[in-house]
Amino acid sequence: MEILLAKPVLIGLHLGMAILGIDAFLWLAGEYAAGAMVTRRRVIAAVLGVIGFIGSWIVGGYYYVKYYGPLVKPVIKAGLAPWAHAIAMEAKEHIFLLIVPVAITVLLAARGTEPSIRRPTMWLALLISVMGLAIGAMGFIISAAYRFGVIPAVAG
Amino acid sequence: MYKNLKLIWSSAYSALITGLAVVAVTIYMEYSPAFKVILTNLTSHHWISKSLGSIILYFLLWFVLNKIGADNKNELQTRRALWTLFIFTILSALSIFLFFVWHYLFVG
Repeated sequence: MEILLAKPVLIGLHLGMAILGIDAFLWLAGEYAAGAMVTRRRVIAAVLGVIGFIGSWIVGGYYYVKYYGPLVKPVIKAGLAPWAHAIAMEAKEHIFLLIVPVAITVLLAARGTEPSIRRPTMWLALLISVMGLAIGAMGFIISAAYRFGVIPAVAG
Repeated sequence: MYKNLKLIWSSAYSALITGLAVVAVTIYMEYSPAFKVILTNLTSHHWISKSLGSIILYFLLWFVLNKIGADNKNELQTRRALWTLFIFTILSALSIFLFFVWHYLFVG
């Protein structure tokens, strides 16, 4: 448990679960784009996607509340790129809240076989993946801002 | 055919309304320290309150929308709900991002 709650492991799990979610919804979009009619495969992809994003939400949320606020945020705000917190982190933590309800909706729609709902479901699955990637890019910016934030302190 | 299109329809509108609520609460909190304190006191952290609030609101709306009205929805209504969710999710995400860009540049 101690290892699981270590900061680098938490970040790795947060990212890993998000990658699972992104890839699963890309897979789902691909199933629609290829015209695949196997409902079971679509549902498996969507279930994996929802599990990935919920897991990423819980693990990332724990890290954010427990470590980011007291340890990371002050370094970023005092560093070279305070906007990384003010824009990237603020946007990331709130845009993420939009994803899970949309992902559950896509999971329900993936069970449907009606031809007319395939196209919007495919675009919603793609949108979830793009939002996940954008949030991942913001996470990268935040991590980089933290690394460069600690350099002057170490050098000094 | 997957008969229960109403489940998809109600989930789509619940996700849409939840997204709009997230945008509204996020922006309002930046201007109301008292509201932020209320959210913080609810669960020890304002983000936990927003997270739990958003998921509770989504499931509550889903339950209510699924109960009211006709027993099922047709394909056209469901398709429209999914496209509406698609557009509003993009608008909600952009609103949050642009708000924080604007807030950083002009409010500080």
